[in-house]
Amino acid sequence: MSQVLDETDTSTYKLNIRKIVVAVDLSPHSKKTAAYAAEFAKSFGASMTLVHAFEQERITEFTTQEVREGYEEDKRDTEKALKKLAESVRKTYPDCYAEFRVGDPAQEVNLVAEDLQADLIVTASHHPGFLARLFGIDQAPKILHRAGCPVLVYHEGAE
Amino acid sequence: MTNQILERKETDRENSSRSDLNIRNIVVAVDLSPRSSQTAAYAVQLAQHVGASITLVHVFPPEPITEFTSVQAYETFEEGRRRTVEKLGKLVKKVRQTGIQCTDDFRVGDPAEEVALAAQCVEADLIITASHHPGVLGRVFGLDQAPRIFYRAKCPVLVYHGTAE
Repeated sequence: MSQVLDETDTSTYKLNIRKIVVAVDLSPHSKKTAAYAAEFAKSFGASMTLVHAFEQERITEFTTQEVREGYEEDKRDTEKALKKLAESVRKTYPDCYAEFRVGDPAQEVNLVAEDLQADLIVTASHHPGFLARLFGIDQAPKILHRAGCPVLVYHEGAE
Repeated sequence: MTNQILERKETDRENSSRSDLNIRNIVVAVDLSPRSSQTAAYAVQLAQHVGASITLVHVFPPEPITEFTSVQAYETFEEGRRRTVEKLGKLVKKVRQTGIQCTDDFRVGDPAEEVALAAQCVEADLIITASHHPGVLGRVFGLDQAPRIFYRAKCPVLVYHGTAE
């Protein structure tokens, strides 16, 4: 790709972004992240897939039926929220899909990106404190370090 | 004729959609390693697509706190700085040859802090930087600048991993 800088005529080479994976945690900021990603997708004529990974339940022999039911209900609600977000994006950009996963967020986002052969991952970052960063609570750096394609971080402060 | 209309419609659609993505100034953080030209090339393509200008930023480490032990040590440090400025200038020239408006910003200090400041100075809409996939210890001790940049930046940050050479 660095050849672009060595070639005299660069008009023949175009940046090809066809598939964008958007990692959303479904916090209030996710709508903004999805809207920004939609602008990007529209500009390149790319498809976008919103991905949310629901954390796996730690089931032990002491896990009660009530807890399991609560977990299943949370899971259903989260999946609905993801579908709702995708529907709201589709109103302005129809080429938008939703992918609901269960597991480690960073791992699942990268798996979806690999499966789709995505050209870009868009994710949000929440400016956590030092300890939160150290203990890996923010997913953005984790996604970044596992990704095989460029990652665009749209953080909470960005408008 | 139909094809021409279709092409024109496609171009119109492309132009109208481009204006929605409001990226006018892109700051590209380069460490001037061999991979920097890959990062710059990616930035050039994005800038061409959205019609943005580019500011290439390189941050040189500050002078050591302890005094230089000899004149020679000081001269070596200064020589290193001069060479880095030259390298940055060459990369800027290369970018300009692509038709993109490009300026350089050579800074001294903490890389992440200075890149974020440079972006604020030009009211950048996007920062592009490279990541080098460091090991766990490298991450804990903040050797990879990419996360440090996006925690400080006020605009979106695109991290480009590059391709294997």
